[in-house]
Formats: sequence, C-alpha cells, structure tokens
Amino acid sequence: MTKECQRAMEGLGQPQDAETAAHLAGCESCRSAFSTFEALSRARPPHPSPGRSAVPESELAKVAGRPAAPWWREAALVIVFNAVILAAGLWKLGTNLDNAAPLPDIWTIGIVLAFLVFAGPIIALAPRNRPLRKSLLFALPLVALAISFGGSGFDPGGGLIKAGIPCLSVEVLSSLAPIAFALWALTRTAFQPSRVVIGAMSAGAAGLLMLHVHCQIGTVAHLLGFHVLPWLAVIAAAIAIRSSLKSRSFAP
Amino acid sequence: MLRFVEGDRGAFEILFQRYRDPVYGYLARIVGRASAEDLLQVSFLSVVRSRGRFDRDARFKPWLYAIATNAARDHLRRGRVEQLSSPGASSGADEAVDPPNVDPGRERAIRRALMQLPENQRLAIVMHRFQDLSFAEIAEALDLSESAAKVRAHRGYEKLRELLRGLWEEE
Repeated sequence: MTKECQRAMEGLGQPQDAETAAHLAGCESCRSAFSTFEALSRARPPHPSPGRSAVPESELAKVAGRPAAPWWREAALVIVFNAVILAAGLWKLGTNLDNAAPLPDIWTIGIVLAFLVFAGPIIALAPRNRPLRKSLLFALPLVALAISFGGSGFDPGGGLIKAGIPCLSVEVLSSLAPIAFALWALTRTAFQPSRVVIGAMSAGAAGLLMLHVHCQIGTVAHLLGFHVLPWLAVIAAAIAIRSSLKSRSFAP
Repeated sequence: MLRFVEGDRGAFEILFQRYRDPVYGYLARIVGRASAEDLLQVSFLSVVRSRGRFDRDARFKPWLYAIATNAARDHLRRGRVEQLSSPGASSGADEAVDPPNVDPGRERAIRRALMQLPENQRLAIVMHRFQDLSFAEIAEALDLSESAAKVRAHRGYEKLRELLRGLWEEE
C-alpha cells in the first residue's frame, strides 16, 4: 500500500476530489476497496431490543458524587506489596552480599531487577504506554541472559540439583503472593498477555533480587536452571491463570 | 465523560443513550445479536468500573470502542461465538428485530463474509464502514498507528470484495 493509497483512503466515504479520482483510475487495489465500501453502505444497522437497562443500579449507586480513583492507586498498592515481600525476604535470608561476581555486574543486574520490582506494576497497569510494554517484553530475554551469564562462576560443589532446590523454592514461594496480587489488579483491565507478562516479571523479580544478593553459587547452569527458569515458569503460569480468570472490566 | 469521572451519575445516562445503538450495532456484527446485548451491558459496566482509567485528554468514543472490542475478543476467545446459521436459518433474536424491508439473506452473507476476514481487518472495517469512526479514532481504539489502521481497512475491503463477488454479481 503506497502513500498515495493511504491518502486516497482518507477520502473513503467523502465526495471524490480530482486527486482521489486520478489515483483510483490507476490503482486497481484502491478501486476494489472503494467499490466494496460503497456496496456495504446498503447494509442495515442492527438495533438492540428496547428497554434494556444500562448497568445494575448497585454499580451506579457507587458512583454518585464520588470522583473516580485514579488507575495508579492500584499500581501503587502492587508496588508496596512487592516491596513488603522483598523486605521480608531480605530480612529472612539476610542482607549480606554473598554474590561473588564483580561489583559492577552485581549492581547492574540488581538495578535492573529493582526497576522491574518497582516500575513493573506501573508499566503493566498503565492505560496507555504500549511502546514501553513492548520494550520491556523485548528486554525479558536480555535480562534472563544477563542473570544467567552474569554470575561469578563460583561452584561450592554439593550437586547441581541439591544446591539448586533452595533457590528454586525461594523464587517460587516468594513469587506466589505478589503474583496473586498482581493478577487481582490485572483483572480490572482487559486481558492482554503483554500486561500479564510484565506484571509477573515484576512479581517474580522480588525473589530474583533476593537470590541475586544472597546466593553464592555463580555457575551458568545454576543461575539458568534455578533462578531464571523458575522465574520464566512463574510468568508462563501467570499468563495461563489470567487467561482463565474473568475480567472485572474490559477497559484498556 | 469527565463529568461522570467526577461522580455525576446523570452524565452516564447521557453517554448510554448516545452510544447504546452504535455500540450494539458494532458488537452485533462481531459476535452476533444474541451475545451483543450482554456484551453491550458488560461494556458499559466496564465504563462505570474503570472510569478512573479514562485519560482526561482522550476522546470517549474510541475508548468506548476499545472496551467493546476487548469484551468481544474475550467473548470470542472463550469460544462463545455464535454459529453462523445456514442460509435458510435465522436466530430468534434476528427475526425479532428485522424490519420488513430488509433482505436477511444479504445481511447474513455480508456477516458471513465479514467473519471470514482476519480479526484485525474485520474490526477495522466494521468500525470504519458501519460505525463511522475515522481512521484516527480506529487507531486509538485498536491501539495502532493511523497508517496501520488504514492498511488493515484497505486489505479488508479488498478481501471482502472477493468474498462477496458472487452475491453482487447476482444483483
């Protein structure tokens, strides 16, 4: 579709000017679109049955005289909840830095995870901001790779699985409550997988941040298998759960 | 809408009266008439519940169509699409509201052809042709760029012409 076609489309349904007519004379595809448009105009619009009420009185009664709460109030609640889980986890596991990776690496990944924990809910729940959601989706594999390959390489021994189970447990258990809360907030908008992915990324990032600070094992196999994959599994589970939940509202 | 966001209940009635028929028409063309009544109510319920998500700088009409589109998509995703009836059949709901001067066979053929279009083209065409939304409004409702909305409508009209060729040649 050329720029001229796009310009002609603007005139669809309007009296044809000379420019549009000249374009149509030479463009089979636009002629086809225009003739279909004209032919469809004969179709009759359907009407609803009369007397159907708008919404239940109980819903409207809640509105009277009360200004609407802004959307960001729910995002703020989710952020506070994530922060509480993160603080509780760090208090329980200890705030000592056991990660032996170079400090710049620790800080870079730590800041990214903290950004996800605190900014993720806003990006997931904002009525607009689609480009930001897309950017964060594209960043997901990069973050996963950075965590997997950004470790110290330190292996204290003890077997991959045996040493990994505690980390997997921390990641999954610390994600449960934040994900449940994020899903509750997400049912107040229409189901959009991108929102769910970001909401779950954010909820799971609290556990990842705890492990990032506290876990001393730095091999790729451990970080990928017991930090990153559980995080990705939690995100996948969140999408499946949200898709089966009923939306309370279909607003974007 | 801004009055409603501030808590003026009466403003909702005005919005409902203004947009009830067009939104119903839109939903009926996407999911069928029987389901459209329920989805109309769900859409306006979403307006009530999510009035805090309305952007004060935005226009109400594309926002409402975005809500109706989301409700219809959810309905279709859950597999509640009405079976397109055979040429001779018609649902009770259809018969109840058909005015006598309408050709129900033609209407059904158009709806069947619309249902064969990819969803993104179908939504753009229904909004543009039957609901009189501008491409800017369609873009806002479907969260697209304006040129993407034009491309979808253009491709949809072309494809629809192919699908309806037989019907129009008969006339």
